[in-house]
Amino acid sequence: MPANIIDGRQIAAEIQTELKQRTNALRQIGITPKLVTILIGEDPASLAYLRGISRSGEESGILTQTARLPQAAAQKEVLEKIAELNQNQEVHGILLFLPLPVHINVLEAEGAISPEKDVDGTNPISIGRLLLGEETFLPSTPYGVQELLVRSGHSPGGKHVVIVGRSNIVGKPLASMLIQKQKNANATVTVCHTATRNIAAITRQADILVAAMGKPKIITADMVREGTVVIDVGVNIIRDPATGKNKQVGDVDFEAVKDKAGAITPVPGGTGAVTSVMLIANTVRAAEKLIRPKKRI
Amino acid sequence: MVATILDGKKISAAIREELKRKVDHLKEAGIAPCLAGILIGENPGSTTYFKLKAKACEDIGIRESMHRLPDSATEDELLETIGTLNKDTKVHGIFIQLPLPKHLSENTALAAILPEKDVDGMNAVNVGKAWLGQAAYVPGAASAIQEMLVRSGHDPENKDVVIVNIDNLVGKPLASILIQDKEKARANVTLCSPTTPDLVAYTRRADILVVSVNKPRFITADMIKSGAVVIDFGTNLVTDTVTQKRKAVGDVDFEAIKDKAGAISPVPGGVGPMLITMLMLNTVMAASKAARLPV
Repeated sequence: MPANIIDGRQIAAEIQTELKQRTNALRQIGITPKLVTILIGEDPASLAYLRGISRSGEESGILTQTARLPQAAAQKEVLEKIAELNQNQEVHGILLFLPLPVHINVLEAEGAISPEKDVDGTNPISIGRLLLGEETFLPSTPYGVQELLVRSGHSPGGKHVVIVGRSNIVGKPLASMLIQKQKNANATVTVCHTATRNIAAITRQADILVAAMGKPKIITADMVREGTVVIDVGVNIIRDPATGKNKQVGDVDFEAVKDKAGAITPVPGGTGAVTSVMLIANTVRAAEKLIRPKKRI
Repeated sequence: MVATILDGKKISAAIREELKRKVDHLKEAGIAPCLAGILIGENPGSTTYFKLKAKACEDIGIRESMHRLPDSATEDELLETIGTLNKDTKVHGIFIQLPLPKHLSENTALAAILPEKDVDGMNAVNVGKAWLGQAAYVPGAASAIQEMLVRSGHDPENKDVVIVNIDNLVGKPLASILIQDKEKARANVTLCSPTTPDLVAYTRRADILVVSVNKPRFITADMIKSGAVVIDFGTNLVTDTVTQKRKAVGDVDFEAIKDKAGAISPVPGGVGPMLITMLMLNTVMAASKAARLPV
């Protein structure tokens, strides 16, 4: 059975349209949501992500701005920049691009972002609130995974979700979102990792399988049960043997798995396409909280 | 096969001996570890626990600073007490005896404790750090279960650990310790709830099964794999059919499972006796950190 392809670009466009309506409403009362990203140095992947954020921001009707600091910027300068943005009432969301130069203390920098503006949900207090089931901003990559599932008709409620990969930006926050006794969650969640012995025995149990290890094509067809919903969060650059050119592939062997899975996200055009939009959604929510503090995200 | 009984009292006593030695070292270095507690009202259960915690401090050599407020205490009064203890450099750990009277918000009170002194690991900062794999305090039940597993020779590394509980006090913090890429962890963790559809399909796969649902004998022998390690963290009062007396039983049908499991924690005498000890352990850790000594 060929799988349904879950089209990340289409879902991203759908969410942007909804966000546009919300930002229009905010504008009428004089609020324009604003996201400021902090980029230290010239990391090419960050620059590519930045372009995606600017584009999604524009489509959704929010302002985006980038504070650029030199690669050699001191810890103090980074913290001062964050403090300034925390204070600035026109700024609703702050994102700090990773990776940071090695001389910068990442934990201290992330912890310095005000939880009210931490739209990528990386401050430990945001992660803590997330796990406790309190209101917080959902980190954009796992938030995107949840939206893809729900909007493609595969709500995780009551399902066995197996997450391969336990990173702080995907595996762990996604697990903490999906175990909550809340709408669009309520799943039974297993977290495993690349060192798991006999990993196929676990992945084959999944109703929904999320691959987030960052290793090209590691999820093969024999690891997937017939009809499973497969979400591929990996982005790996490999050389195409046929053309000799670099290309993007996921953690899932798409060609082989697509005939067995019930639904699957492609790479590119799957999870990556919604990530930046979720960051924008959080920024809009941060601005809305100024007038409607109680509503859930 | 008859299961090994995981004796929480014995493990607890061993940890307390280690703590006594650590406290002695700290005192030699001029640090007197101190735990502060806040109890509001006269709830008999809470009062008993509160006193047991004070006694445990005494046994180990930790200085205790216990504060009792009347049932009518306002949020401001509670926050003021917490604030004073936060500022007191002689106090290393602070706990609030739960539950609080209905007019007080537990979230607000717990969030007011300085993360460095939050030895119950309930503040969102500690919860977040623990989940991210950073040094943090975690709730006693979670660290007690980890210690029980490791000290009884059942290291969770690469085991399928199935937890039937998704509460903030048990399931979530336990998962948060066991999924880390660290010693005594690296497990494949599945979080279920008692209402998970086809729960038995999950529990039967478990190498290590942890249950905390507060339903007497909820886990029956057919729900476990032969040789599994079963940790029962439930306490239910039932009437004994023979003696007609009230007695405590766990969430696991102990009599039926003990011949099938590889190891099992009893109720009473399992994880329960370790809880207060873990609070003591966190307090000693907090004192060591405050003194910038190795933990």
